[in-house]
Amino acid sequence: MAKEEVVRLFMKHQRMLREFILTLIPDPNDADDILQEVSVIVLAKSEPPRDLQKFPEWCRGVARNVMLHHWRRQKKTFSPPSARFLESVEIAYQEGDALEEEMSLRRKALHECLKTLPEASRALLELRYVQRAPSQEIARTQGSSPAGVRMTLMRIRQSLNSCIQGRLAGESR
Amino acid sequence: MTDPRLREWLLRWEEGDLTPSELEQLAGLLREDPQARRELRLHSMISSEIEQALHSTAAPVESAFRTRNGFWRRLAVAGLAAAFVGAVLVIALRSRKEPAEFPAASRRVEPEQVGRSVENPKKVSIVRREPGPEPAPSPVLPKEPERLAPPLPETPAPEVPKAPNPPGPAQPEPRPEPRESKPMPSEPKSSPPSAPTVSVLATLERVSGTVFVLSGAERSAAKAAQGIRAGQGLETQGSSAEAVVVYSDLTRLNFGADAALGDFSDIAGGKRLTLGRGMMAVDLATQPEAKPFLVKTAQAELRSVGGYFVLSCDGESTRVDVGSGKVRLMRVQDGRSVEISGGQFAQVASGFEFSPRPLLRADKKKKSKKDLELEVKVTSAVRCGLCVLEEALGDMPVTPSDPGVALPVDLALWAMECGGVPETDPGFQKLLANMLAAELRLTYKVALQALVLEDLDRVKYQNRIAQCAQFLVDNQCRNGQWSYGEPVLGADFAPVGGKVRKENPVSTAATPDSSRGPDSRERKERPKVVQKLAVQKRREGPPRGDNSNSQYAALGLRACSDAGIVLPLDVLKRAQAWWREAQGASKKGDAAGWSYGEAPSPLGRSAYGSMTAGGAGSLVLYHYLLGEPWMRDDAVLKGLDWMARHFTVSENPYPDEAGRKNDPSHFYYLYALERLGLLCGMETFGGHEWYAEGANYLLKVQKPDGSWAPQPDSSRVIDTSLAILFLRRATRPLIDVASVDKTYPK
Repeated sequence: MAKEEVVRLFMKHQRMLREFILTLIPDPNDADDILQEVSVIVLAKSEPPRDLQKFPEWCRGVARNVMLHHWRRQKKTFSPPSARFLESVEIAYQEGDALEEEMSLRRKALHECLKTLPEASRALLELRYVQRAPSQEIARTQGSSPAGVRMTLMRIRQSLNSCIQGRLAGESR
Repeated sequence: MTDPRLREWLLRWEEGDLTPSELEQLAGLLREDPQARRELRLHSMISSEIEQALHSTAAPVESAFRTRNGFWRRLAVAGLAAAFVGAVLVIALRSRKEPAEFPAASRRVEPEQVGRSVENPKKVSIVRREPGPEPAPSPVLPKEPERLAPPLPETPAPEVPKAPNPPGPAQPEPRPEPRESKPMPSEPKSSPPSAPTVSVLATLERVSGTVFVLSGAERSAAKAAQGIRAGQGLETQGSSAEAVVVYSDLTRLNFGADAALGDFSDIAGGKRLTLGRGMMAVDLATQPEAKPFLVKTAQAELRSVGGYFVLSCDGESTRVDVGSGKVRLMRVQDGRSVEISGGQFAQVASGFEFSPRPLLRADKKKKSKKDLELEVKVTSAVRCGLCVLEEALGDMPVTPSDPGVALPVDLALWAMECGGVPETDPGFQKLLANMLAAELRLTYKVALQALVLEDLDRVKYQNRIAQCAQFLVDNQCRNGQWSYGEPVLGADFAPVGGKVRKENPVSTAATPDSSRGPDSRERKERPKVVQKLAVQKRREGPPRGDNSNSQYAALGLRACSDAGIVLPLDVLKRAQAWWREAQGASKKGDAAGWSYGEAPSPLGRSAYGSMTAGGAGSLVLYHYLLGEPWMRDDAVLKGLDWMARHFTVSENPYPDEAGRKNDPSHFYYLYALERLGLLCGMETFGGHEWYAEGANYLLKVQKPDGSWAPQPDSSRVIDTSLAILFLRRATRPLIDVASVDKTYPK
């Protein structure tokens, strides 16, 4: 496979790959480090599969190996997820490979939907996903409970999902 | 409909707040429910996009702080965080004295909390990545010049440990002041009449199971947050009993099952107590040189001014294992004392040299506090398990002609030997005598007998071990496996280089060996083999056998070899060839495993955990017996890869047989896993610390009566024996097998 083709495919699946890594390593800083290592391996060192259909799966395989190394380095402070969980996540992404186009549309719609969120909801999402504050911390500052914070997060996500569905339905009409 | 817990689990997983059990449930849900997998996929997409979208539109005032490596920004956040927690932090730091070896984070970790919720330092509100106009990163991102600085202090300041029980009026203050300025809370109901004039020395931080506070002749149920006064004592009863006592300087004493201690006192500021029996893990805050911590037992007196150590006492001996710091141990008998440093132990017992000796763990490193705490629990659990075995076997009518009953008995005997039951124990002697009097039959039994006798005294029992070798050699199947086997007539063995002589049966009246203490397995001096005996194969066995009998035969042959029995080369090579042949083809990457019989195939049975661990372990053993390096054998490496991929301790893994539940061979698998880990010198499989995970699992599922029998159809004696073998790391590591864990798997 030509190098340009590898680059093109990697660009295409990069977001999926980041989401895959983020599923297993929820810290975005670490996830981006992993993604960077994966990109170096994929683009510079390894021989990709001939079957283009298997490219995303192969990339996830590389990512999984890099993550295993990452967990080994951190084994004193972090227990890596079980093999069973890893496999389940891999299956979820394998099934999603066929829906990558749909996911791409969802991402676009999500960006639009985020703009329509109330300020309080945006602030909460920023605290949780940008500042990486756990629910317990947010609850402490807001005088609520961690379960309450998570419930609010679930509702915001639900409203985002509905917004995405609405936009996709609108575009398809 | 998707499980309603899914979304909450996913949110908590992101925060590192999911317990291992919940994570397993989540994994199970994802495996079974395609809708749940789709939900996971969408959840991750939304999390990633939210983070990127909001990150790129962060408030301008915040972005002004951002630099390439985010240092100034982190500093600014640190300032805000410091303002938020400052006062609390200062108070906490003032009231806390940490020994240098143990960071604050490791001060107290509940077993259930070991994981990210406590230890993961990634809960800091920092953003270090640069914002960019495009949410998606470029394919090859420039590597940052330096790694993220150590995390800033968490918002919750380091807290003085407190009882997990619901808060009540008797609960101690979160940050106790020194005793002089703020007395600990008292328990008026349990105090003796004279108690009001006696100061509280320490507090019971945690109590589980049956624990009593002793006040003179009185005994009352202990409660968390209860104060311990001068002159009082504690007693724990039963396998699940545990008590944690905390002093105001955060010195922490952790007592396991069946411990008795008394005479808590504080003479001129020095902490003192007496340990009558049981184990006690001590995390000792730095004490003044002139006021050392002092513990008395019947045999010894211990002094220390700081560190982490475990003291155990069984009425006849006293032992201390030191993780860090220094301990001085004085033998009461003659007043002689020795100093024991981190990574050493010493024991006062009849027949043991009284001197500091290195801890003989397979990893040969200093034990961490976590290791030692686990050891306390394991020792208590094993002790209770051994009681179960002795009780069960005492009631069991054992006759040499009843192999069905005798099989668990032989396994139990091996577990008792590894668990440290002295050979002088009447129950042990009875079982041993029965075993030696019985005819050799059944491959499992013969192999276990060889293991027991070699470990007991390989010189004294060498002839009987040679008979075991003869049985194993003559019963090898033509394809290199073993089946259950048939009795063999006599045994012919010869000293190497000498003439063949007829067997010389050993006496069944074993001479008592009183020097063997309860914890002697790790340091028992094994006598040197004085002569080697060669065994010849005299007959062919049946055409084929099974891989379960075969892996126990490998263990037995290793024991025979270690006892100086020279085995026929052809037998060893044929067995080795079988294990290579019986390995399945690689399905995924380089992993391949074993099944019960023929090589796993799409049409036959798939590879699974107990057979793969046993198969890889057997191959390693044959390499050892043949003097070859196992690390060059692809079959072993593929087996290790299989174990790394499918590692679990909560079940015998059958990756290709979904939904297999209540497998009675679960503990049989755990013992196979233990053998593989120790034979290969590996501490981890697939990043999992197999011993710690397995031991914690076994501690969790031990029954209140001390037994193990997780499945309704599994044998209490067999499972309890297998659990003890795992917990005691029964397998002797191979000589000259260095740990390869740092380089494998790649």
